[in-house]
Amino acid sequence: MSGTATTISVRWQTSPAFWVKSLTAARPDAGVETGEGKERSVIHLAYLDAGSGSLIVQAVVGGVAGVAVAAKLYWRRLVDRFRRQPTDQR
Amino acid sequence: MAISPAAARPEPASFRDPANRVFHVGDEVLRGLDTRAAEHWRALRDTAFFPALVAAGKVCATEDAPPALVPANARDPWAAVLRHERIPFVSHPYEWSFTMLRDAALLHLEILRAALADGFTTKDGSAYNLQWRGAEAVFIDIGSFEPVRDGEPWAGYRQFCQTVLYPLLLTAHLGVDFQPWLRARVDGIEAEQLRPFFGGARRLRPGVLTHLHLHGAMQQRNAEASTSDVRAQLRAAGYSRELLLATVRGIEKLVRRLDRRPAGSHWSDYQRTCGYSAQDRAAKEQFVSAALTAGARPRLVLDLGANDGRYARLAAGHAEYVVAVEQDPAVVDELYRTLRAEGHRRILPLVLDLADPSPGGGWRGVERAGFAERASADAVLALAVVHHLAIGRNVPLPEVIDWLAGLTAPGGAVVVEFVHPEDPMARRLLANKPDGLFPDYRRDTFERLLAARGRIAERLELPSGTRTLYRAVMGG
Repeated sequence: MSGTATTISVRWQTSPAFWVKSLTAARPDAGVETGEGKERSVIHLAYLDAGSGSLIVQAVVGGVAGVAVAAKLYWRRLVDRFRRQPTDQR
Repeated sequence: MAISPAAARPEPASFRDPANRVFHVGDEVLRGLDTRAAEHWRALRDTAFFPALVAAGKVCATEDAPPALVPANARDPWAAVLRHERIPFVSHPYEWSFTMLRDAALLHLEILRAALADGFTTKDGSAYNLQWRGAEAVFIDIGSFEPVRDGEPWAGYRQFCQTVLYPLLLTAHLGVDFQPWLRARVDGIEAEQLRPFFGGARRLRPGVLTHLHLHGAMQQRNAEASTSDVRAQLRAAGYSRELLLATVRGIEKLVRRLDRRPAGSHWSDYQRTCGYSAQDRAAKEQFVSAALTAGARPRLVLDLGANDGRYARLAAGHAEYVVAVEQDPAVVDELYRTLRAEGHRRILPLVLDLADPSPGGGWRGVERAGFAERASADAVLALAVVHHLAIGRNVPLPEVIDWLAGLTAPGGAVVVEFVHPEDPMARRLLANKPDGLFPDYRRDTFERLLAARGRIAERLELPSGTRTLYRAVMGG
């Protein structure tokens, strides 16, 4: 069974390049690539939908402790991915 | 007196959260709650923070009401019904000035912080959760409170950014008025729409890098991730309530830093430069006071083109509530700051262009009622505005009078000033228009049109001889 966690998948967020790109991109459509050839678009989220990205970014804006939580989240996603890969190939 | 639920009118703006719905029955504002929302309400009622916020006037007063008052929803009857304090005049965030939106934001965050300390949170973070009692903000969305689940960030953060924080960043950092942006989009400004305006060094302005750029990038990157998965991941990674509180405090600190002292505009000096003689002013004030006390005490007075609020203040002395409308956001901001400093609770200043008032917005154009639908005043003050509309904006005189009549409740009064074409202000406006464009802009025409739509009860020519005041009783 391929788990949902794998679907969420780790992209470039864990790499320093992501942070650098996110924080230095001159325009939103310049320099920020998903690595999957996707184009960014305005996401229309439903009312009462907290938005996944909006939840994660709150950890980062919460200060040092928050950044640690965000790092841990991405680390777990990464570890999770490598752990799951052999199972998925079976 | 028994009120039939059939008389209940569902509030068009209250449908997005199926757990509860607001109804109007007569003059009452009622809210039906489903089983779960009713449980949350009972828990909320017993907290320490909620009654304290109500007592401080920061949250609208709410009490239990008989469930039979409102019609059942499609599936089952409401588990509980609440009765809310009535807000004297409903306004929308795109009618507020910068400082009004900022104060509303601070109140929302203060309420969230108090709720979190007591095990509650708000499930959304919309600017539309707030209304005004004069210059005092009040939180109205009681249905938004729910018990906080440990390890979860604020679900309302995205909405708060879109309807509150981004509009504030736009005005504070770029000097761009946020009102047209909010008016155009009922869900507020998306991060991706605002990011292109904050390139280069502007990225370093307070709040921009994190709340706008990083937030926007994160939304893009996690677009396919479900929020329940992300919530579980954050909880597993150790996200705590302390962290949530730190985030809220951080946003609060940021909002406090956002400020913009509006630069002087044409209208901000208008009262001083528009050239009334002391005699004219005294006669005008006396006329307005007499007009407002001629009949029963007005519940709602509209002051159109309120400027520094001189006549709104005068009206507040004779009426229950005054809505002071002015098109220049900077002028409204000044008026709001002054009223706030005085703790004034009976004058609501609003940003509104009289020739382009707020239309209906949101779902079917009725979710956010247009200004004309909300305004039904017992008295309308139109002092020195008719010439701006008739000459400045080319609105035909009969239209101007029809519009004034439309804003007035049947039997209500219009107190209107007609500036003669010979008046220096009218001459200045006419000088910019081709000759002979307004042959009907004459006192006798105006008077005839006014008399056709109402009964002219009083008339006064100001000592300068170039302005005439009227009190006309409309319709009814």
